[in-house]
Amino acid sequence: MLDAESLRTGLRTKLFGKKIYSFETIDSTNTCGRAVAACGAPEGTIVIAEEQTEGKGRQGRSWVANPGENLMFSVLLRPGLPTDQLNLFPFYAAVAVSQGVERETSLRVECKWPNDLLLGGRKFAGILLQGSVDGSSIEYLVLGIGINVNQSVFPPELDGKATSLLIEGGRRIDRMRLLRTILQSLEDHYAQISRSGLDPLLSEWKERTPMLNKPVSVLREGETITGIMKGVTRQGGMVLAVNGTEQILHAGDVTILRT
Amino acid sequence: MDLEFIERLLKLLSESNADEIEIEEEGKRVKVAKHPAPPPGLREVVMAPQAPTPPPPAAAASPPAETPASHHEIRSPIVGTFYRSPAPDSAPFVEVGSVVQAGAVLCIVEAMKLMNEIESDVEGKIVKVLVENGQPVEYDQPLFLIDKS
Repeated sequence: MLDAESLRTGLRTKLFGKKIYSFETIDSTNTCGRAVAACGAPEGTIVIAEEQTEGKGRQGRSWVANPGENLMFSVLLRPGLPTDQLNLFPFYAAVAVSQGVERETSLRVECKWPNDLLLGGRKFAGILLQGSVDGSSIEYLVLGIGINVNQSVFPPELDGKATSLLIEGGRRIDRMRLLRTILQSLEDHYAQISRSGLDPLLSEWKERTPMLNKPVSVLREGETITGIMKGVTRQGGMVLAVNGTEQILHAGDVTILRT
Repeated sequence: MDLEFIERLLKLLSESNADEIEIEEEGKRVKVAKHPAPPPGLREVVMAPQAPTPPPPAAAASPPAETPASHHEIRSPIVGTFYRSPAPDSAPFVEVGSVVQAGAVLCIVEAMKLMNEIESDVEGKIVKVLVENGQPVEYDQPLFLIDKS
């Protein structure tokens, strides 16, 4: 059980995790995160759960993970920035979580657009952010992070697509220690946003993506677009060259095609 | 009652705590009022002749012609993809004709799995959906027109 007291022990952050809501079972840590945000919960509040009954993915899809083996948590941010800075946060979350995972393992994490984390080409973590704006500024952001940690078996439909830290690294990981390290990484990078802005995050994300100049197919609105991934825009759009013409996409399901 | 007079009234109003000033003079009435949530510098000026008079002076500024004054624009706070429903197989949050309260969710704009539920900041009726489902939107692009009247 990921209880709040043992998480706090050894947590060296100043802000992240000062307030912890911990659940055995919850509908979704992000739903809870948004509810406590709306009630005025402070920045850095986190929500963790062993099991989610309505874990969220894109387009209303679910995030399924075995209880007791993985990490599912949400972090509340109140950056107080203008809304035109919102597009920076998916890069921030991806880079900070990648570094946190690498610090606790000997694995190399890759970033896949729109916001999945990969090990050896397979997904082991997903990041879903939910924002709330108040006029022209960001009221709050909830970062929802799901990481397959010690799960060794996945449903057949995820065969070849999903993996975990245990499968890739060959050893069980102390989830509490991993969570503390990721929270520290999130906090450290968060402090840098006001100083350095988007550029360092964007360039690190690009270094971490296995997609650049690779053929990819994107499913969106029931239509599949195939092209060469040429990069990402500062707003997080994927630049896709389709028959010599560049298109910019902001959402979709991407498959990296084997060449 | 001339432009200078109205300008003086506007200045008086902006410096006072009053929400509106109404003055009647020689059969003409002028009312200047602060907008409930005024964008900087925006004031509503209404001239209402009580008796038949020549056309009102040009100073009685009429609202811009593009959209009726009662129509409120909801704009995108982010660059992304516009979704009218929470999932492909679920009903849209709102349709043309839907009556919404302030705070009601109108759509989602997604960028890199950052989902922004866009809420109405006014109460009213949806008169127009300005973007097709699944289309890209730019920062500050108008998404909906809402009739506040």
